[in-house]
Amino acid sequence: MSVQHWKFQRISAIALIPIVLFSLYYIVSLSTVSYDHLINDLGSLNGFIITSLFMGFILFHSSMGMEVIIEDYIHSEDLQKNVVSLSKLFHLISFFLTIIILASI
Amino acid sequence: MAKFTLPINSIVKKGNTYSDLNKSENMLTVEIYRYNPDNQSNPYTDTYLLNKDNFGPMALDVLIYIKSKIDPTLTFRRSCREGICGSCSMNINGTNNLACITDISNESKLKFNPLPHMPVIKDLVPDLNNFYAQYKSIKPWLINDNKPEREHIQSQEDRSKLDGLVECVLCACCSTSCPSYWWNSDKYLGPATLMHAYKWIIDSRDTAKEERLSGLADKFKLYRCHTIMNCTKTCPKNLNPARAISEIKKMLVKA
Repeated sequence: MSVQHWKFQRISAIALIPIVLFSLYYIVSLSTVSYDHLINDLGSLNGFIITSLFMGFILFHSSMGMEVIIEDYIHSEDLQKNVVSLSKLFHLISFFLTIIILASI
Repeated sequence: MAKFTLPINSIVKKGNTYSDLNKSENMLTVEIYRYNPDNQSNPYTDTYLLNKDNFGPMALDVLIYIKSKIDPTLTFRRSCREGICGSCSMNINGTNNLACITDISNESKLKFNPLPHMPVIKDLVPDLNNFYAQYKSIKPWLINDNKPEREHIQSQEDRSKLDGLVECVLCACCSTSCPSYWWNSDKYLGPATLMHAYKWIIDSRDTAKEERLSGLADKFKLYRCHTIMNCTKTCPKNLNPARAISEIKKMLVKA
């Protein structure tokens, strides 16, 4: 389990390099367009895929990182488990909210 | 929760100042952490103004001089005086090092503290029981059920893989410089123990590689290492425990 956690943290970190670079390029390219154009673009299939991939990997990597930080600083096992669960729930809700908002555009 | 503040009885107070009678231009100001559990008082820092002509060029020479000439109650560990036994590990001018191989000839001020974040028995002597128990937990001996007629033969090539690992003297400088070890020393094995574990894992004479690896596959024993690299930076023997730990992690992924 701990080996998988470490492996996926590295894989998600490496995957984030091209995703973040492409997302930045995508966001910058949207900076000159009008509001209506921006909403249309985010609501398109391409916009949906890019934004959900970006948020998905960011939140997945963030969730794993937060788990490590919580384990570092919270020594009570029960409290540690509860806070880790809360953190995972927060990240999961954030991801689904992203999907719902993008789908509703 | 992790403790972010010091207990009130650990606040270090100012102690006494001792001055060498033979004042010269070659003066050295030495501050030493002092703590005596029998006094039931806070630790304090004593200051010594010394003439550098009176002792040798190493930090341990200063401590031996103070103990023999000024204050016999000063307590510290020492043995070999040549960086082999690892006894005189302590924090010198903010960096963990072996006092016997720390050159002080260019210093005008020295600060001695015990190894960081360890329970202090007295003055510069930390309690290393937990450190040694962790070392014992990795079974630091050869595991090989095949009984050879004489000795277990090892090729020069296989032996050379152990270079940079066998030189570790278990002084605990690396482990006690690691913030992860400070926070979780009860569960995280620390760089010194993990480097020794790696040494046994890659030793061609040892047959318990899988058993040793599976014993380390734990989120606290191994994965509290966050590649901070203080261990490698501080090692008095110029070894690289951080590399050994990352090699163990890579082996576990491939296993």
